[in-house]
Amino acid sequence: MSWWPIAIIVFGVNFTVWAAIGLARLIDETWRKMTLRGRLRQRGYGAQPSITVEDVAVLIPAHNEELVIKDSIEAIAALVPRHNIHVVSDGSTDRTVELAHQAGVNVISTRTNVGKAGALEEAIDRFDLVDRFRAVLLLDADTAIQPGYFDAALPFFDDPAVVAVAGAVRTRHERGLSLIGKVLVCHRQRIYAITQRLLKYGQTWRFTNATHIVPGFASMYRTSVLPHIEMNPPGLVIEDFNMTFEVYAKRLGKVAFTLGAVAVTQDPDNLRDYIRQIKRWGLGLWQTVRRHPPRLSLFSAMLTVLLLELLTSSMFFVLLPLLVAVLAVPALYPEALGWPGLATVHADVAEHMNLQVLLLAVTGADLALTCMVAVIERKLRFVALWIFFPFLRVLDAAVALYVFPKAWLSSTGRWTSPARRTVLERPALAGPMAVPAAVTAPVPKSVEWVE
Amino acid sequence: MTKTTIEPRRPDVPSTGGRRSLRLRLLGGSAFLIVLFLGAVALLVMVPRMLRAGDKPATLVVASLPFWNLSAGDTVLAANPGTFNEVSPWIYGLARNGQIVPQAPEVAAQTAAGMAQLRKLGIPVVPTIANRTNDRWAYEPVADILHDPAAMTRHVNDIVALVQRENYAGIDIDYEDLPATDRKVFTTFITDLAGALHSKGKVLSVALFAKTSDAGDDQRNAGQDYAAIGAAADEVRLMAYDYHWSGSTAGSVAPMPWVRDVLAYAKTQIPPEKIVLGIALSGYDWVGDQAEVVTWIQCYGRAQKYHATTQWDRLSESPSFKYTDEQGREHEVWFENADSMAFKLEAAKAAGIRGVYLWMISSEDDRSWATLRKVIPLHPTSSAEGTSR
Repeated sequence: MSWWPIAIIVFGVNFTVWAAIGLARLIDETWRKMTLRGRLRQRGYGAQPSITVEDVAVLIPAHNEELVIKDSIEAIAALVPRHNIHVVSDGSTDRTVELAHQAGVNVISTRTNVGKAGALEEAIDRFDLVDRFRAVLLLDADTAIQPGYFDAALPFFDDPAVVAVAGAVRTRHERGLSLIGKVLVCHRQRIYAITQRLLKYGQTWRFTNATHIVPGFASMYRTSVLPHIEMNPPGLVIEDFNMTFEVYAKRLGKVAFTLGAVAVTQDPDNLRDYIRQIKRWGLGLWQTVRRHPPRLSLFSAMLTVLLLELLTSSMFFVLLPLLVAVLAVPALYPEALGWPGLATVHADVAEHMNLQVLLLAVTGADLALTCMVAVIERKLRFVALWIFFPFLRVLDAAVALYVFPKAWLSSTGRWTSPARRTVLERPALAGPMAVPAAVTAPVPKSVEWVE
Repeated sequence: MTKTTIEPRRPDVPSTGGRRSLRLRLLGGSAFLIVLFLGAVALLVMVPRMLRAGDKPATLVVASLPFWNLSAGDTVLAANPGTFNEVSPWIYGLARNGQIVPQAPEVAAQTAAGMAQLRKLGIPVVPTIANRTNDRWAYEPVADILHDPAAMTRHVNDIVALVQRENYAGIDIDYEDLPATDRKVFTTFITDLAGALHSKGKVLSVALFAKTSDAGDDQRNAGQDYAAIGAAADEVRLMAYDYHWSGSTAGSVAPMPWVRDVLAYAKTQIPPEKIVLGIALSGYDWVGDQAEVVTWIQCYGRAQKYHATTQWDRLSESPSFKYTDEQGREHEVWFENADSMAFKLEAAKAAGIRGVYLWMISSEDDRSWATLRKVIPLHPTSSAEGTSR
């Protein structure tokens, strides 16, 4: 057995392929920058003038956001004209609408509580965003667009084929978090840092067009494609996987992505919220896949490999504690082999792997990823918390598999508000989308929830 | 807001075709998800197997035959054709002056007859030279060879000459109990010998103490550089037995957790296609901390005679029994049988190493050879000469 197939399995087939393509993109773009120096940009791809911030509508869906809505509006108003900002309140019972009015932006309330996707759909219609603007930034109230976002993202729209620009997501690291809060936030940032560089960057090169998620809280769409996107199909617990899949299913155009267009979001800092969030993301993914059968396209091929690896690695991580227990218990308490059945299972497992190699491979591969992130982020705290991340990956894996069958439970009928309301009940959670990416297999993997 | 109020504003929306088409899409998506799930299960089951399939299956089964019972070994080999593809009669020792001599000159006639019988079987013969002088392990003859370059060259030439004269397939070196300080010179010797044998198209096998780290637990372990010897020799035979021995407390001769650790460590140092796992066929009968070697047939006899019940230890995966002899002494017997051998064969197979050697064939469990053929079946073409170089 040569070393490289094992290395690919440890590292992940998806990471390997897309990171290699990402490297090609990096070389390509560096080369073009050196040789063309913006001449291309001046000449333009099409007849239309470039999109500027004047042409961008900002749309903020809000549900009881009185604590943050004012600050969010002021923050984005520093980057786009105030009259471009639109707030749609869905079922708010607090001062959200009043505060938004005071801030001098466009505000409406939905007529009935329709959920986030329904609110977006209604607002696009009632504000007439498609006719009045050339692009729309979908923004959550708890998301902070960083200066430089538009400079980095808008030039992609010069290519008329580009219909969406995905923002690069970062998680906000607040002071005073509990240990579990720190672990969860760092785990999430680790996933963002890795998957955006190793997957999404390669997936959104000018020759490739196949990314599974345009995060629905920090990304821009060309308004002309919005009428083609079914934003609010019944039964879906989240909307942005579906919006992304629609772009590919209907061949609406290309998705661009740049690490320069940064949006900072808040991620759960306690286990309960965290589990709720990944349950919703996981279920949203499976529901969306179920709505969009594969076709002959790069997107479907990418998705097949990604999901296969997600499922295999999730299964492996769920089995991992069992494997460790089967190997470790008899090593510590030999008399345990007298328990019915354990001796047989132990012999079978021990035939294939030993405890040291298993733990070393899993934690070693995971630690390598952590070190990579620590270098990228220039933060030692990731390394300090390394021991916790494999446990969260077991949790992520268990949840991904737990919600898998639920894709069949909720989506045949019409969705009811309660299921939907939870989305907006906890605005802090209404954030980034996740797709588990991964590294797979019998040896250690690095399964991750991508963004 | 309902969909109907939005529809008019979106004349361009490609029709989703109503409920029927949605149902079809959901059906297609459901099928995709189920196929993905089953595919993931299949991958999880297959990939470990595929990775293992990349390793060559075990292709070498060596029979070690003791000089004192060559004819018994010949009988087993003749009765089990296709079960072994290399044979190592343990017949040579070293004289005090370093010359290669028969271990037991007093039975020279029987040895010659046994060897003649053996050659008739057509199995490649790779005899063992052990540093035994006058029936005892002896360090001095080896020390003189290792520490005198001229003597080392002479010894290498002697071995090559012996192999060529007798038309052996190669030679097996079993020099034991060297101090840690001999590590370098022993490696030099093995490397030189490998070069000399290879130039004549012959095979070099080296028997090493089993260990789970470079230093091991004794200086005799430190004296053996797995990586360097593994680089030079064609076969590295790991003596994965005598974990409990005649001078230790009673216990399994080769407990499985230790055997697995030995294999795992060896694979980090030696190319797997050169590793040959030693499997003991005999056991020990302890009284206190002293034991004598017992063959399987002796164990069987004693268990019968003293009406002892054989217990199976699930951690070490080996059998044992206790009895009290006529003098009232408490005995504890740990031995190996076809079942304990099966565990070791499976471990060798799972580790993807070259093969196994059976130490030593005389009076073992008669179910052993069927088990051996079942776990490590030999392809008719695999032989020492055919696969080792």
